[in-house]
Amino acid sequence: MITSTGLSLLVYPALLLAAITPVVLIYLVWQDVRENKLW
Amino acid sequence: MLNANAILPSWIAWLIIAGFSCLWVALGWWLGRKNDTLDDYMLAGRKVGVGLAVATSMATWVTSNTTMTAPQLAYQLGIWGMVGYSLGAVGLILFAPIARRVRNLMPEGYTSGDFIRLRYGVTAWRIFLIISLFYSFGWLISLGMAGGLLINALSGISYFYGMTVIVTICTLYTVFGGLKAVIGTDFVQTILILIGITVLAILVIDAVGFEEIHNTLSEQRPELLNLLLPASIMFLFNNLFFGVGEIFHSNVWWSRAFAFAPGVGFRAYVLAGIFWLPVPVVAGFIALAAPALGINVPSPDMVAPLVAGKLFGIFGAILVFVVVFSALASSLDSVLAATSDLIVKDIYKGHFRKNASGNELRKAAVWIILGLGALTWAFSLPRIATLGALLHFTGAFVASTIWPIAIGIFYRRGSGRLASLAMVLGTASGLYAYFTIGFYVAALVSATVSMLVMMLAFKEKATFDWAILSENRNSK
Repeated sequence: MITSTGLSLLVYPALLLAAITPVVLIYLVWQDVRENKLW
Repeated sequence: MLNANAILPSWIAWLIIAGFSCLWVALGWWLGRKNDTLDDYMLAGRKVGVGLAVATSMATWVTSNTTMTAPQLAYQLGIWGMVGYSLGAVGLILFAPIARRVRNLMPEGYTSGDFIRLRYGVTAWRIFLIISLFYSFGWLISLGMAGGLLINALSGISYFYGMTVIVTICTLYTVFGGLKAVIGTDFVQTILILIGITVLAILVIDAVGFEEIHNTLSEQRPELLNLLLPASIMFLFNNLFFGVGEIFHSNVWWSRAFAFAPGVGFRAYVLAGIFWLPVPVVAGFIALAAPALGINVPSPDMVAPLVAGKLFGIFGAILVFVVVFSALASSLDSVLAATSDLIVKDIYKGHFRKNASGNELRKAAVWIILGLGALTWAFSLPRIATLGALLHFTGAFVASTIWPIAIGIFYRRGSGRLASLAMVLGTASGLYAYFTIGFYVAALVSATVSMLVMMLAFKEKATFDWAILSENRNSK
């Protein structure tokens, strides 16, 4: 049986990763645009 | 046909659909306006950078299933349901070394069919095409039907209109812009999906809290918190093999490996896998709040929208609708484009018009995308439940291709006869398991039998010449 702490240890890191992903993706695309390597 | 339980007024849903449809089609046209050659149209010029490469791999793998089935599985199978679903990311990560290798070995390749034909010969190629086209078709119909069903369930718009709109829009912008349109819209759709589910999950934690969710679950549905649930663990492994089989064979992922700039494929697939991993967990967690909110769930696949609607009213409903609409479009466009590539290169040119020019193939691609869109619409129209479950049924087929591809791309051993046998015996045993044991072991059995057959390759001599794979440039 997973505890309440266990549940939060599963969900919080996942939530953090999902939240920063759009920032990382926009940064990567911006880098590609700057170096003229978008496509 | 109106749905009394809809969480979003249909006029708002129509506004969202109209707004996004105009955006996707305009973006598709704008991105595709400089497409000159067949490579531009089918493979976005083979120079896609890492940012768009990560986003398109991620968005395509976030389907309506991820945003709707992951919550359903969390609600039915508990913690293992959503963790098992998130292991779908393993397929993306394992494909990374394959993507790098095919880009080097086949600098002018177009499809997964090209690889099988050059590596294993014509018989294995035809068996592979049957498996791959059957899977693609199953995926297209499941997306078309999911579009109609989800739009109806969320907004009350009739199944016919919802399904027709989503299939038409995706077909239109894919025809206008080719793979560039697919990748460009995928980027926007990824951002929308991630922001949508993150905001919803944060609001759920803020409104209900972990303690209350956990307490209610342990009182009302303790089995969901059980970490030793045999059926869920079996589901986890089957899902793992199904996902790997889907990604290893499908041209959706191969066409991207050919489209990404040299040196990008490995990084893009690893990052896409890592970024995809949390999506089913976050979406699934939203569903676990249902018992704490006292929500009566009439059908488990509606659990996430019900939580959003109950907690945040119209705002939550709009968020869920945008996430689902983006998830549907980002996968449907990719499957349309990649399946059309397979038909253009491996059926039209490979079997009927061997000397067709690039210009002729480009024109053929437009008609084939339109035809696939029309076919998807026609098969989704009667709303036959068994057709919607077709994708489930393909697990036995696709898992049989994992080992022939993995061994064929890294070793010079393994003949066409052996690969053909592995795919046929794997599929047959997977289907037998599907009907005698259950859907949750079909991919597992198929992959195991196919692996045992392919192990015989290590008794053969290493005779394959890698140069044959790059000879594709001479026959173009």
